[in-house]
This record gives sequence, structure tokens and C-alpha cells, in this order.
Amino acid sequence: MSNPENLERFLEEALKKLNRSAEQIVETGGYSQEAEKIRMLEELIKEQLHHENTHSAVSQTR
Amino acid sequence: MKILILQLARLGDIYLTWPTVHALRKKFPGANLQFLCRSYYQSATVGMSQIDKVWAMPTALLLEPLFKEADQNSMASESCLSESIAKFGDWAEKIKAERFDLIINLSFSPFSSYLTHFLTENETQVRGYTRTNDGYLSLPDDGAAYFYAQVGVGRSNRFHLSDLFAEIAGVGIVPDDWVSPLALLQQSPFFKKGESSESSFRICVHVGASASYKCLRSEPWAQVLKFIAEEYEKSNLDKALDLFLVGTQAEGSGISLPENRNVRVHNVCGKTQLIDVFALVQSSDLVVGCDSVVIHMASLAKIPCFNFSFSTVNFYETGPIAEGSRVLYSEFPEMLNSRRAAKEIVLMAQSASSYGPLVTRFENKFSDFSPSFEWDLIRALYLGETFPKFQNPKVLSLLVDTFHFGLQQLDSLEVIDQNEVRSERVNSMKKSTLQVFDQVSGLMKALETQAPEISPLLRWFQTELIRVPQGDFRSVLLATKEIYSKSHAIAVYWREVNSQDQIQRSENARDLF
Repeated sequence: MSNPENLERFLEEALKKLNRSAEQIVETGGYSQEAEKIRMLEELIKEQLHHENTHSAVSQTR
Repeated sequence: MKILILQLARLGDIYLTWPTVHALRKKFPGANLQFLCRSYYQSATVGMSQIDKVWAMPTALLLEPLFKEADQNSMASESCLSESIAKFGDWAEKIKAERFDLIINLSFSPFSSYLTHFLTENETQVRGYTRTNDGYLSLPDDGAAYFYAQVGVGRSNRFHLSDLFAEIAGVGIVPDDWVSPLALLQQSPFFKKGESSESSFRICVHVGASASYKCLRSEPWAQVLKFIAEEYEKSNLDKALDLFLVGTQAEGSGISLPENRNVRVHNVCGKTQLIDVFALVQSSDLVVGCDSVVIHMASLAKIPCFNFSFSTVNFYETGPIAEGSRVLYSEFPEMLNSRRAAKEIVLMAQSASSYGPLVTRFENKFSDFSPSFEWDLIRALYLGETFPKFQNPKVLSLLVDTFHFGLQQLDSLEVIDQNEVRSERVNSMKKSTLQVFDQVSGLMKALETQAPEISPLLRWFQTELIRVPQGDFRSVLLATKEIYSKSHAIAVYWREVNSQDQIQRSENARDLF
């Protein structure tokens, strides 16, 4: 899957699954470290999609 | 004492963090200082001698299970996601095991806020973006709140990013905190010894930047360089001129080089490591470039800069720091007058006054570029200076009414007894109040469209609401009411000033509260 569009779709699907997992954990056991790890991974993946976090601190997306 | 500094942005922001690290070392001489950045940008920490340990975040490695599966399948499997979470968790746990006393997050992304909270122990003090215990964004200090509300492209902040980093870290920086790693730079083959600079004037030109929207294309660069050579020939300078072009190979390849009797051009684009560029900057008399990492190296090396700035960046936030640096602002790169730019650069080489208008770095601040209501409003809100006059009666009237409306709603909740906080009647009241707050938020957006110049006030208001600490019903209510009261007082003050048709200059913003 070297095609960037396919990779983006793959990552977006992964994000949805991760989000569902995090929500389930929060619903059943509250906001735990496990939920936080998932949230971090989600954000790390989002950066791959939009490159937002590697921009300068003062870029529009942060 | 163990301190972790997170800087997860790019090279330029890492260099702008150096003075804060220097000041932190002075404040905590015996502390164990650790630094976390992305492995891709780790080279910008080379020479940061105050740091005891650098953690490099290997993003590609952490996401490897996902990328591998993406090569084979169209959907991420549960096992692949679990593997990624475990891999990422293992990496973060290793850092967490250090049990830091103080974590300073100088990144402003959602990711960094989650990571900061994850690394926080019960006794850890945190500065910068983090999360509450139930996962909401938390802005624990005034610096982080200011950044959230007022900083970024399209906003009106004029504090330099390096000063904001220091504010968040809880230190003040002075000119001596801008230090380059001279001993290390001297080891680079690109470092030129002092004696040779007497026979020539050296200009280091960065012909690139981290993003295309920040810099000139190769054609205008070539034109600027050609004109520099011509203007230099015409000047009364008797030294030869050495122009060193730095950047990536691609950035340097499209630039044709001027040939003049007195001007030598050295295109070393693509032939240098980051530390070599720093060495070239250090051994230059002047640095020329757009908003880029090289400008920040020059600030550390205390070499004056001639900086091209455009509306896509904010030179107040990321411009050059060295005394005497000059900024030539054009709204877009296409609007840059190459001849004039070259003339100004040669004037700088002659230590002559500019043709102007230019922004100059003098006595540790930029000369005023243009008056700004928004910047005056920010200074009033955060520094207690006089509020600028706001004369839009229609918007002002709506502003007063909106804050008053919010206050009335909060007053109606204040009569609730603590014992009946969870009763059905109170829950229904709280629900309707939340709906009212949503309406207030909607009104704010409408007002911002009508009068964008009051955005700093509205963003301050919204940010302060985010900062209301978690607590019992009454404490949250009172804290919220205080923010509405302050905002209402400002709007009323504006209205009164308008009715008197004068601003009482001696009035201090803090007196209003």
C-alpha cells in the first residue's frame, strides 16, 4: 500500500477504531492511562495525516 | 531535581528554546535537565550543553506496526492496533520512569498535552499545555493560556516566541542567554578564522526555509544576489564580499550566481550538516534570509540579520534577535522589490541607515512597525496597560448585553443550595444555563465577525473559561462569574469612555477588576 491515498484511508480507519476503543475504556473505567495511551496514538496518527504537530509552534494548527 | 523540557516542533523552535534552557540551568544549577524532541529534528540539540539527556521520539518506529500492515491490508486489525499501543506505551513508560519533578511543555499540540499529562506523577509540577485528569485540555500557567488565546499566524501577538517559551518555563531571559556553542562550531570545516574576515565581508544567505510559503523562490533570490553584487561594487566598501549560500541542494540548484570583480559566491547548498551552517553563520558579518532556522542560529551567535518577512509569518514572534537586525516586510514574496532589498543589505554592510521603512531590532525589541488596536488590547488585558478606544456603538452595546445576559444566568444559579446540587430541578436549571452559554458563545462569534479587532478580548474570555479549575459546583460557578464580571466591566468601561468621549490615560486595567 504505497499509494498515499490508500495509506491515508487506512490511517483514518485506524483512527476511528482507536477512538471507539478509547471511548469504551472511558465509559467503563473512566479516563485511565490506557485511554490516554490510545489518545496519544490517535494524535500521533493525526499528525501523519495533517503534519500539524511538526509545524512551528505558531503555525495555525497546533 | 529532575526537569523535562518538551519541544516537539521543528528545528527553528528548538533553537528558539536554547535561551530558555540556558536560563533554566542558571536557575537550577544542580538540576538534571532532560530534553524531549522528535528524532528527525534532534540535530538542533547538538551544542545545547546545559542538557544532561536528550530523548528523541522515533515517530516512524512507533508507528511501524501500522505502516507495515498498511502495506498488506486495507484495514487496520485489532492486533496491529494493540501492537502499536503497546509499542508507544513502552516508549512513553521509559520516560515516565524518570519521575520528573517539573515538566515544561513548550509544544502546543494536542499530542504534547496528552504526553505531558501521561508523564506527570502526583507530585510533578507542570507548565505548558497538559490535560485534566478526565482528559480535557488544561492550561496551568498564564504563559500557556496566553499562547492558547493570542499566538499564531493571523493573530496579533507581538511577543517573541523565545520570550513566551521563557515565560511558560517560569524564567526570564536576558541577552546573555543567547549563546552559541563556539568551541563546537570551531571544529567545523566551514568555520572561518577571525583574521580572514578582515580581508572580506561575509554574508551568509539562507535561500530556503522549512516551508515554501515562508520564502522566496529561486528566481527572486537570484535577482537579489545579482543586485547585491552590483550595489556592493558601487559602494565605498574596499573589502571583497564573500557570499555563502546555504540551504538544501534543491534550494540552491536553481540560483544562477553573479560574477563581479569584488564579489565571490560560494554555493554550499546541500553540502553542509546543520552544525556546519551554524559555523558559517557564526563566522559571518551578516546573515540574510526569510523566516527560518538560520535566522535563529544568527540570534544565538549574535550576528545581525537582514530578514525578509511576509504576511504568512509574524516577525514579531519569530524574527531575528541580534541587535541592529533589520526586517523588510512585503505582504507577499511576489511583492518584494529585489533592487531595494539589495540596496538595504549593502547599507547594512556599510553600517549605514536604511532607506526605510524597515523594522529594526534595537535595545532588545523591534521598532514599531504599525499601530495595532489588537496589540494595544492585548497589552491592556495582559499587562494592565490602558485600553485602546473602541468606537463601535452597535457592537459595544451587544457586547455589554451579552456579558450581562451571561451574568444574569449565573446569578440565577447562585441561589442553589449546595445540598440540592444533584436534584432534578437543579439539573434542569444547569442544563438550560449550559444552553445559554452556548448561545453566548454563538453571539461572541457573531460579534467577532462584526468587529474582528476585539478578537483578543473574546479569545481571552473563552480561554479563561477553559482555565476554570475543576471543583464543586459553587467554586466553578464563582470562578465563571468572575470571568463574566471582568469582561462585562471592560465592555462597560468602553461604553463609558465613549460617552465621555475621552480615554482616561491614567486608568489602569487592573483597577477595573
